[in-house]
Amino acid sequence: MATFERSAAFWLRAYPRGWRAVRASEMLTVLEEQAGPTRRLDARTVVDLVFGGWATRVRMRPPLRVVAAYRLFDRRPAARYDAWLRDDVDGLLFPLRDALWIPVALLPLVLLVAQVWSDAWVNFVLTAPVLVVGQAIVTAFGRSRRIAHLFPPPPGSDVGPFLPYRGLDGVVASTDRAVVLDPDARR
Amino acid sequence: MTFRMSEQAYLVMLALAEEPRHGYGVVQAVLTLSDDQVKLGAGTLYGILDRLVEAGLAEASGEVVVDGRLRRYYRLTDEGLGALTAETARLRALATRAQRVLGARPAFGGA
Repeated sequence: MATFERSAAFWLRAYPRGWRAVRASEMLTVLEEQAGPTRRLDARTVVDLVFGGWATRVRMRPPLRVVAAYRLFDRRPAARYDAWLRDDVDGLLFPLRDALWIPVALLPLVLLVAQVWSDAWVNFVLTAPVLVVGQAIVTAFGRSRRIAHLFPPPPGSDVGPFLPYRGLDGVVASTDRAVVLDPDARR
Repeated sequence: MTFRMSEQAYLVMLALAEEPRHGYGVVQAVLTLSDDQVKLGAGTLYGILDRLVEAGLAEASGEVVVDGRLRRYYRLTDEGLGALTAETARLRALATRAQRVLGARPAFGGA
């Protein structure tokens, strides 16, 4: 029994992470009911799953133009691509995916420089990996900030950025008040 | 959003038009409707269901847990019923034209 579920879970990884979180359990039911007492995933089902998973990924992915604007200019894709965006920033390889666009952004510059400096391409190819790895490390450390920026918590939610303590009387107990000695300055 | 109507999608919509069904129920209904010709895989089925829901032609209509397994039911929306009716009319018109073309041909084996 566990073998079937493990096998199904493995092939279901063809689907995007966020999609799986919502639909995997009902799809597992269908797979189990289809397999019947044999409890085996046949080759046809597996191929169908892999194709279905990739089709789902392609369908959820924004057009290249939107991805480029997001990667290069930090322009947030429209809300209908949120499922893709969420999976993107949550993914293991997100820092690398993000950083790989830097060489792409530099291409026009290199193309220009190569007109006057014949070694431009060699130097570009040699330095690009360093740039990518460096940027990936920076991105990895800033990931949680990026997520908070892309998906700000709804107003009124109890988990949010840390703000000065607000007492029940609504007065902000600011540390500044403790050092105000001149009463006139409080107005 | 335009919906690409494949034969499989048409059969799924027909299955959902009869009554709300869960995933495996749709697979079985499609098998019956297609005279055992179309056996939907889970990947194909969910691709079609996703597209139907995105296009507003179908919607989830409830969940049931049977033997510890989650079954989610789907039903056709009014819009979906309209699309299905329109597609059926198109197919009927096509079949009528096909009959006319075949009827105009000399019979097989004839001179």
